[in-house]
Amino acid sequence: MPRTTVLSVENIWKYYGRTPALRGVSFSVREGELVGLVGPNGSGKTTLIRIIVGILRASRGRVSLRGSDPFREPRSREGLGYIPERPVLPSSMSIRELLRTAAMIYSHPRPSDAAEEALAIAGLEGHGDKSFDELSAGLKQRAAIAHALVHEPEIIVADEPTSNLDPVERLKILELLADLNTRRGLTLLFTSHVLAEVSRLSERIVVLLRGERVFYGSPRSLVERSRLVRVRTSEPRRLAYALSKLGYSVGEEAFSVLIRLGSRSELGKLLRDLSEIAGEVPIFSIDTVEAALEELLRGGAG
Amino acid sequence: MKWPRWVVLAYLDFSDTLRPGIFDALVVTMSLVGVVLSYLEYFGSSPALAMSILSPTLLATALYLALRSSAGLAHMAEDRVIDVYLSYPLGRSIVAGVLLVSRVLVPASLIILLPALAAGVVYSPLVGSEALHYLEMIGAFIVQAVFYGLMFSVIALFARRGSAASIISLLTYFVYNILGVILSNLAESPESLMYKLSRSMSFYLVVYQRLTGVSIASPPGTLELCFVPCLSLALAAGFIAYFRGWYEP
Repeated sequence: MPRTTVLSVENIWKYYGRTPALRGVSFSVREGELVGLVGPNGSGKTTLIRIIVGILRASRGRVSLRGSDPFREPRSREGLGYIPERPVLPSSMSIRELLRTAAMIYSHPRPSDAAEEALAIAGLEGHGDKSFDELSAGLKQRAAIAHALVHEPEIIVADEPTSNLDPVERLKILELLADLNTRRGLTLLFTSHVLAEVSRLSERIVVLLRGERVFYGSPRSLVERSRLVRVRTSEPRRLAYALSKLGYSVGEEAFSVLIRLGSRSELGKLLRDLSEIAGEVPIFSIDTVEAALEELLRGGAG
Repeated sequence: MKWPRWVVLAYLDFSDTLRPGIFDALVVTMSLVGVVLSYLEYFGSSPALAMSILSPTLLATALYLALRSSAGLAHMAEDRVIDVYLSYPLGRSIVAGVLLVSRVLVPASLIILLPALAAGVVYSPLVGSEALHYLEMIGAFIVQAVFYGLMFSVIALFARRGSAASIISLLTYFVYNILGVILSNLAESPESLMYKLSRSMSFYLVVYQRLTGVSIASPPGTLELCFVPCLSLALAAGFIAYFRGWYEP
């Protein structure tokens, strides 16, 4: 059975003065889907998210969130949970009281229960009586997630939910979001500039570059079309030399070597060659995911 | 009990407005100075009592509105708390109305009412005999304070930075009051439009003169009585209309 479209973004343009921040971006998010929005800083991700939530107005184009325009129609935001880029919530009351108040704004029939449940889901047990300002960066992010969940939304729109977090906390937040999607069937749209992070979770990704959509599809299809491989090493010069001797087109970087394959089918051969070279030159990691995004952003694919 | 959504948002926002701070304590102290000073004076009428007590309070209220309400509004956009409000399922005009009530109307009314009530208790025989006039004066001061607050709120929408909003608001307040004095001095006669315009800029003064007949050649007309209230309504309508249709934090 086809899934209903919860969010559709059609040919969105956004100008700041005369400068276009978004140039005709289109995509849709279906019920229960997890979609990632990827792009470098300044690519227009936050602007697009704020248009989707109804905070900003599109200069041209149409956003339909649960069937209506989020800027004009408050009812479209009934089932929306929003996690802003920098987690920020009013600090005048405790997190528990704030969540209860937010649940009341959404006319939740049991606001106190909803607040307790949101605290539990977000892993904020024991912190409910603190104000937002008293929380650490990781806990602030969790408070923002609890706030977005308190009214049991259908869709969560999260803008860089893992930014400013340490790697362990990043992973925990990603697991929490994935869990919400798989166990509770929550539809999720989230942004990141780390493709590896997005591709781990998302069914589909939208890649933005300078306000323009440069890719829309599954993360796998993006990686599969890429011909770039980055190998991290402490001795890039030696590795680059060894690979170039084997006929590879290589570029040396500070702590890595970027290899451009003639075709994707050469990847197997490269891995075999690297396993032999690894005996002489230390190899820390082989990355085809972030390299694929880099290739796309440099205009090599898409 | 299920509260209307806008009431809950107003509660949320008002709890932020009322967060205690040293500056707020200063405002309360300043506003009570009038009450203390009133012991040194003799008052023949309740409007005179209100005028004496609430004039310094009005200055304190204006400072509060410029430095806390206006800056607070701009700061909400700066640190993006306003994004949270706008993500709630409430119409933008309702959010705008809530902000005006919680950031302007309620604090302005509270700061004016506090010393007015205190003085009302201290001078209960005088106030009791002219209660309506006393209430009219309190209302006039509240209207004037709300007018300042509305001006500052509009400034906050465009200033976008808390510090800029408070500085521009303060400048606007002083320019407005200096303009009143300049117009009054330039006026050739109390019948001239310039004089009427200068008088109409202070609504509490117009109401005071209408109630007491003190220091006027002619009783205040429609222009003087309607100027500040109409401008306030226009500012409130403009704030809500802009917030609803165009405001992008």
